Amino acid sequence: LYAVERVGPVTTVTGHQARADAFRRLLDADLLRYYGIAAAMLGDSVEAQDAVHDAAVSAWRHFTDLRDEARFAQWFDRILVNTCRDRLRARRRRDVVDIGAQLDDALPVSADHASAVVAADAVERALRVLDADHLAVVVLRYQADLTVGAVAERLGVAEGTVKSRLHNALRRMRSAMDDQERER
Amino acid sequence: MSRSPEEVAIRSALERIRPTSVPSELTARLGRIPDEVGLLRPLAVRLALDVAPWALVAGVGIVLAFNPLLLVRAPSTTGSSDAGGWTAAAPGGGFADVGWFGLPWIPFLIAIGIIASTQRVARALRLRDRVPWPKSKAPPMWVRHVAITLPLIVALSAVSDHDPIVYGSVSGPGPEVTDVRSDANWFDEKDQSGWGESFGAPHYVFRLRPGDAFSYLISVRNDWPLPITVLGLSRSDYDVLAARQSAFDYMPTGLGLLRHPTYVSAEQGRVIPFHPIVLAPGDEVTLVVAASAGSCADPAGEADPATPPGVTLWDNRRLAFVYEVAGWRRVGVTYPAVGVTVPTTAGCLPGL
Repeated sequence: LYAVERVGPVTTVTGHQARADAFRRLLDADLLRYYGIAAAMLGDSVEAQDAVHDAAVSAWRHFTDLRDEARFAQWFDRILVNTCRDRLRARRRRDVVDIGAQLDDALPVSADHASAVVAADAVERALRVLDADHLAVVVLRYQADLTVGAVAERLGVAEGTVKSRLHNALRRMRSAMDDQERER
Repeated sequence: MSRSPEEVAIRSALERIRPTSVPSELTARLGRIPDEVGLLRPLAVRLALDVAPWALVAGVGIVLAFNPLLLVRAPSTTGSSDAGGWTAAAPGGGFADVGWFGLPWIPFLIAIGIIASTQRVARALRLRDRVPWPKSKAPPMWVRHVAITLPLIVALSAVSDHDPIVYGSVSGPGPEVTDVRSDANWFDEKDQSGWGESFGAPHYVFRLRPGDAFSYLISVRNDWPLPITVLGLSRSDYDVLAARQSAFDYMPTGLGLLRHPTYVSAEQGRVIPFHPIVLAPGDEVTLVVAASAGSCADPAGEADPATPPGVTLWDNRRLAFVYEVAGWRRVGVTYPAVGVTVPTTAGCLPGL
């Protein structure tokens, strides 16, 4: 897990430059985590960068709407997930992408032994069968390591909905992995 | 906390694809955003700008609904019917049309404005932390609400046969009257309890020649809990029947208003040309009805001629008014408890 650097409450910010500095500081504090969420949801490192950038643009444009800057991370998570979800929906088709291979090219990843790699590949492919809503729940729950309540808050849905989506997501992934097994 | 093997596998797979550093180009792109992208106006300002057009629509609708005279043109005048010279021969209008205002445009306008405004406020409050706001593929909520509201308004209107205009407490003959009776004639009356009979109501007899003008007074009351605007007699209603009836005994030709409400007289100088008038709930107004004797009128004729078999005559007591309630123009019919008779030549029924 990442060691999340929390930023203390921001004092009253006045003026464009001070506001811009605060925004950069808040964004940089959790940037790696944001990038990880986008990469996991989109399965493409380049598109993940674009998504983080788009989310940052939206966040900056609405920065004055943020009432409590101590909640910037939660707020930005939500913006980022919405951006990724919109991008996934815009694809209109769900390609099975070997995100591990793509990210291996672009990012340094943790090493693992061969059997674990094979198993992880299967899980990654199974992730790609999920639709945007279910994928968002899985990524926030298992990668960002958020509680069900925190996931619900970020997605703007009830906790019951998160649990239901998690259950359905696992069922679909299980079914997809069974299909992969049969094809071998 | 124990984790299922599936959860462990998912965490492991996600861990594997988790980036360990942020590309420097991304960091650079993000750092430029505050310098390259402008801030939006504060949410309250954006919301106000978003709601303003719809609030304006609702506001205009409400103003028009409760100040209907803004939409009403003065009735056209003919002849010598200026403010000081109203006569039954030249009443100067007093008719109105329903036209396109027969559809509830203004209630519709108000409904659209209010629903759209509240939807926007509710959406802003619900989604204030969600950026960007998701685009809904479904029709906007206000469209759905209006799609339900409009048929409901029309349906309620269709099933409601309770006209707001009922006869009032005042009646009287014009100066042309030749006989006033309060005899055993009876009248069908429609009131809140339905149809009934009224005995001893005033009965005015005008012995006139064809084409002579005369007048009589009635009053009407607003029986609804909403203010209404009386716009005049229904032109289309009278156009349909005028050709038939004018050849017989008489036809209304216009309306006038009393110059002074408490001086109940249709004499010249006491009446002014009709103009649309707003009646608050329960309010009453006295109207001077101008009429013209038909071609069968005969000063020496029978006051109560028998109607030949197979002939249906229009009840001349029937007065169809165009009125407006909350911007919705409709026709209401009232039967004043007053009899008006123009004696006709026995057996004369030209054109019927």
